[in-house]
Amino acid sequence: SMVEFKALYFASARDAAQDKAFEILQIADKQPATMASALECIKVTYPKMKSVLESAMIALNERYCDKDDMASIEIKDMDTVAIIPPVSGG
Amino acid sequence: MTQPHSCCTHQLPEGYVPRHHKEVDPAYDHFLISPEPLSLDRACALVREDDAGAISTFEGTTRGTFNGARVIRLEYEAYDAMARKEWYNIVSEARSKYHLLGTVMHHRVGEVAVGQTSVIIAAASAHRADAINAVHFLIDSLKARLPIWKKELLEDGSDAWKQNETIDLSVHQPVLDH
Repeated sequence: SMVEFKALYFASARDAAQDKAFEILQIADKQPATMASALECIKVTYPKMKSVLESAMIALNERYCDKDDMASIEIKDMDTVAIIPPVSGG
Repeated sequence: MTQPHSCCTHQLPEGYVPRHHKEVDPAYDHFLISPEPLSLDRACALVREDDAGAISTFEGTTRGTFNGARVIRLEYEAYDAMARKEWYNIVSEARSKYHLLGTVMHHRVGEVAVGQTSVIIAAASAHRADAINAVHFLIDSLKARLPIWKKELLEDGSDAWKQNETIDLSVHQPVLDH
């Protein structure tokens, strides 16, 4: 069955997503339900996101992910995936 | 260029541990993200108490220039829910390095004009070294880790998302154990 996830886009990621702040996306049946698949889904939807993702961190359910673990991090139905471009708080 | 981070040393009675809180708790670890103007007085009032011998503070303000170009204003946005979680992780780390009473982190979102305040950090402690060093650690950690972004609007009408420079957090050594 298809796994749905909530994608959140901040700062330059939102610019790349044509000003969309969030949306529900689906990982296709054939793809493993991993963070790598979720990011691939986002990249296919927004080609401009590819360069953003090169320098962005990723957060799953409000926790930073290790970018080395993308293929092994499991995405469960209605997980929140946030694209976190380089931060500039303070 | 990094500089060595200096800490005061205390002469305190053997076995004396300054009053402090070991665990993070919203009751005394104050966190706010708001579009309203910030106030140092309000922040200090949240951590002022009889057990404190020091309140140390930091204010971040919008600077009017960037590489010679005139800045009109900054615009901030935040991933509120994650910023709160990540901030409590940072405060937890601070509590393992310093003997702290209350802390405050107030960050503005939306427009912050030149000269205005974007962030206030405050920390109270029984003795000053803990508060002073904790505030430095807290603002550096905020800038490295918190999911908050600013867009800079320049006089020529251009705008750009900023990114903070790489921060070396290893300079923040615990205050010497009493």
